[in-house]
Amino acid sequence: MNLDNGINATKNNIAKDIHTPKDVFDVIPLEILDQILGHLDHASLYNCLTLSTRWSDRVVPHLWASPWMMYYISWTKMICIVAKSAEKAQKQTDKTTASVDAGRESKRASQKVGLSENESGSCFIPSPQVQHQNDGHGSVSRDSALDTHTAQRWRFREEGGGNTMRFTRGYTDSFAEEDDDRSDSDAHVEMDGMWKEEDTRRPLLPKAARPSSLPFDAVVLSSHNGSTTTLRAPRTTLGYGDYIRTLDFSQLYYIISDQFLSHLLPLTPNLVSLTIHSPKQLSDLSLILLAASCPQLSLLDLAGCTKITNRGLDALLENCGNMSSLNLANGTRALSDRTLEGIAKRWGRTLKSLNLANTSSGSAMGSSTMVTGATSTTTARDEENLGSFSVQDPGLLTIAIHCRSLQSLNISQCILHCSPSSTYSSSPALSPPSSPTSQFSSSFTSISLSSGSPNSNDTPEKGTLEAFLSQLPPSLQVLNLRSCFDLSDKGLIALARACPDLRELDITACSLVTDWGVRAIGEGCRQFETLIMDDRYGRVTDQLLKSFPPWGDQLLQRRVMLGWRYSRIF
Amino acid sequence: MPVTLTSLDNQEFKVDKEVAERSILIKNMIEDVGESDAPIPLPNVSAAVLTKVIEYCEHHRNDPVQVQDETDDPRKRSNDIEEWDMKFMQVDQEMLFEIILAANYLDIKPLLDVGCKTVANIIKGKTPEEIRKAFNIVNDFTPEEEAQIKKENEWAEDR
Repeated sequence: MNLDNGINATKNNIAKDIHTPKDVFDVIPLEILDQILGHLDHASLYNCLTLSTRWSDRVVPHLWASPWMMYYISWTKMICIVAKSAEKAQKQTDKTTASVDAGRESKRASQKVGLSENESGSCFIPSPQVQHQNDGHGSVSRDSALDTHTAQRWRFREEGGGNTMRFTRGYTDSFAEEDDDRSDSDAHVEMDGMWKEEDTRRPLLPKAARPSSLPFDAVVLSSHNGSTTTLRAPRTTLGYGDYIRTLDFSQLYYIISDQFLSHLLPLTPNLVSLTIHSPKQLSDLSLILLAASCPQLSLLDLAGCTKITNRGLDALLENCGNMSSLNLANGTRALSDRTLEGIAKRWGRTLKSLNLANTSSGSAMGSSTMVTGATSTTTARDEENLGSFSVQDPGLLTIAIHCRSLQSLNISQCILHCSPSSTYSSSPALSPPSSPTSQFSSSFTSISLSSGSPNSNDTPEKGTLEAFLSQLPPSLQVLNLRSCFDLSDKGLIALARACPDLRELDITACSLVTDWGVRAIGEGCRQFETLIMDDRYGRVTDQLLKSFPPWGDQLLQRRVMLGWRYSRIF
Repeated sequence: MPVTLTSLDNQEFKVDKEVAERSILIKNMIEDVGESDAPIPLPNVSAAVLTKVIEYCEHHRNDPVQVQDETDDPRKRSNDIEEWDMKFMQVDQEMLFEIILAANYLDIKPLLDVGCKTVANIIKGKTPEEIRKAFNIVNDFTPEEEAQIKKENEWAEDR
């Protein structure tokens, strides 16, 4: 009966409403409309853009949130549009903030962004060695003294390269264009004072980092002695750049350069995710600028950016507080222990995924070492000095201790220094209970060690990888041991005991593994689903593999998916 | 143990507790009040819409509770709608929006999602003029403004 009434009511509703059509805008709350727009692709969003002014205002942030990365888009043109929109927005606000009252009002309601130093100060990283140079552009602002002062500090010049980067006046001076009738003079005095106090250190926010499109009404700068300065951005309207949250240049590596980014990044202060793959031209300058411009950055993918060094990363560490995913694979060649420690301490709470594959020092030397698998002790020590990993290394230990939400760690092709003679067995402080891997938090599920052959070949003892595996956290689900030539059955048995939750294991090219080890995994890990291995080297028999029925189901499916010729995949 | 829901027009619906608890709002209400026979008033939902919503909840009564990642970009998530849901959503536009509003009010995330996807699918592949017609949108742009905004965003157009 209820149902019938319901249907009748529906009919009545339809009959009533059919004559009074409404704009969706009047029916649907805005947050739901945002959800709907979130499901649309760029082409559809573009079509929604011209529906009406209300729609347009709502669509623009979605459209610009992750600009569409295609090869035929003229990025120069896009930067022009972004810059222009920012200028326009600034002009509009200049009008609206003409009265002091309005200014105060907006200040009260303003969203404040604290850019204070690291809470403890313990992991303050000294300023990178950037040379500051006055470019002689001169400043038109009435605070010319201040401007020149800060301008002097923030002229970057790349050491040695002679690649001088200049910021156009549009970015550097825009922030100083504040209205006379707003009581900003005191702020300027304070600011001036702060710069002087901070003389020996880098200013927290460089001049160039205050783009004309600053999205916040106020930026609070706290200096180390506790004094606080509030900088009011001169406008409240947003330019297109403020909407940009994701930039993915993974397919556009050829247009990326320091110069390109120096124009784009200051306009995108709300950037959350940046992906850049293997542009050889990209250097630390871009990272410093990125750190200064985009404090909300949480996902950074710099796979293959070989020119990046500790300097750029240090700048990021200082200014970007909530990194959740960092990929430096195949990139920087000399990640220092101190930077690594900084990464662990500063981003430890937020970091979920860390990829340091092939970031060990001395690329040529390192890789040849890995291929041959035979290292002299001297080489190993050299690499250690330059910052490659060792299992007993403070680097990995720091990561394990500080990164409490880390879920995935990739240290493929990083050389594991577990020379048994030196640290592992002799030092009681680093005996298994305090070993780095056992320190990982319970959320830790994936580790990749492929080609990370321990440098134990030169010593008679071969148990290091085994020891390492036996200390892995029990929460581990995915393990990649590809090309770990030292892996033996003993190692797998230890692994099966340590990680009962293991689901996926890659033992491609591990020629020492036989039925024994694989059986241990099959019996010890109840959730096990996928075994990736190699036909050419494996000494594992088909009979054994068939004796674990759950693996068989995956066989066909996975083989099709990955299409490896020589792999027997489960 | 059945739960009684009262719609806007004072109709009573008896549903299983399990079904009713698909709605987080009702779930929280039941938790707050405890076991009781008193009907739960839902003054924002008409009987017709509530019928539909209950139909959805009945069908999805055994679905696992979604653990969703807020940080995910919706554009990366799948836009596919299950076949049953697709059929379920084949209603007139007024009803569609009513269901979305009810799902929002009752806090039934999967239903809200399906609703939003359905609307998004209506928009997809249509020209601006067709979208205006579909949603009764009045164009208040001057031709100059429209040209301007088109020009500024033309990089996003699919060609």
